[in-house]
Amino acid sequence: MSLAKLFVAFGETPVGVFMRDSTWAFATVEAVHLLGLSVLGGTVILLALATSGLALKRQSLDVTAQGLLPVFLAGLVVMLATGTLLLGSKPYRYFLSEPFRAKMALLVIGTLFYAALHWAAVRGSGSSKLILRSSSVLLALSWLGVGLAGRLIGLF
Amino acid sequence: MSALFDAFHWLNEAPVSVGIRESDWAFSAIETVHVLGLAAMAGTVAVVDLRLLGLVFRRQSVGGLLSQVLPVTWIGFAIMVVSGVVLFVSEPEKLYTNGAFWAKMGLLVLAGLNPFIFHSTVYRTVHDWGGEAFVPARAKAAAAFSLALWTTIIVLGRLIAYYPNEPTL
Repeated sequence: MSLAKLFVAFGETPVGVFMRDSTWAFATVEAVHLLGLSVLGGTVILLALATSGLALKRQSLDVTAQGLLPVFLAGLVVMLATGTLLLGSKPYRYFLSEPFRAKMALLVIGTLFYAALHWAAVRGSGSSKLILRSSSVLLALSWLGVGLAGRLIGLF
Repeated sequence: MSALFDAFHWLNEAPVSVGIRESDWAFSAIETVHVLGLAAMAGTVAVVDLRLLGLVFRRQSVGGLLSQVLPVTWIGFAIMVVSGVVLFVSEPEKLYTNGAFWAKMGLLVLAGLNPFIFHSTVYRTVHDWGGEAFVPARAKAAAAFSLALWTTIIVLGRLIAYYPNEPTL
């Protein structure tokens, strides 16, 4: 089954039909998507600032990273769950949407950057300041890209 | 009541308001800043509240964590206020009759009062709370209230576009 057909099939499942037909369900799921965005975005900002040495300087980086990880993961789970539901409302339209495709690519990249930065933070003083700083910039930019692409989906 | 509407109407006809409304991109750009600013403001507030509730960073002192995170929260709050004011300025007449908008504004006042009371009462003694694990019940209550308030505020913000019945965005 092609990817396009999978997307279409998802839209015909009971949950897909429900999301398509109910305006209040879509609005509610979208609102929860926003809540997850706040939490996930907050941890991304804090990890980026901490690894750049710009904030949370009074404890060691590994402590900060360990503390933020469960919050990031919880936010990510909420985003993936609500995002999947939102997708179910009109999956083929999203499939064709270039901002949506860009968002998915940036989502993967952003998650990989978070994992890499978390691992570097936990590992200790092995990484150079330059690598940590540039990685945090890239982390922040990729997630900013996810947010911007998400906004563009609604506009095109 | 009428004087308030007159003020909203006057603002609605002001060049800046008309300009944003008529621009192809301005409203969307400002709204994007407002939504993405949530990460800096609400996301960091969530981390602070979760610490007070003893759910994250349990081995870091409350005072230490808050003093390091809250500056980011303040920057986020500034972004939210500035972008929010511009959003308001762009369509005051439409917002005048929007129940979700008024509810959100009311809760924002509460959301401002909550930390003010928290910081001037129970938080004053944070260094005497005795060990990282202990957080006074009143501080936990303030944190839970904060989470509930901001959640509702964010949801109401989303609902503004759906009020009264037809989605505009």
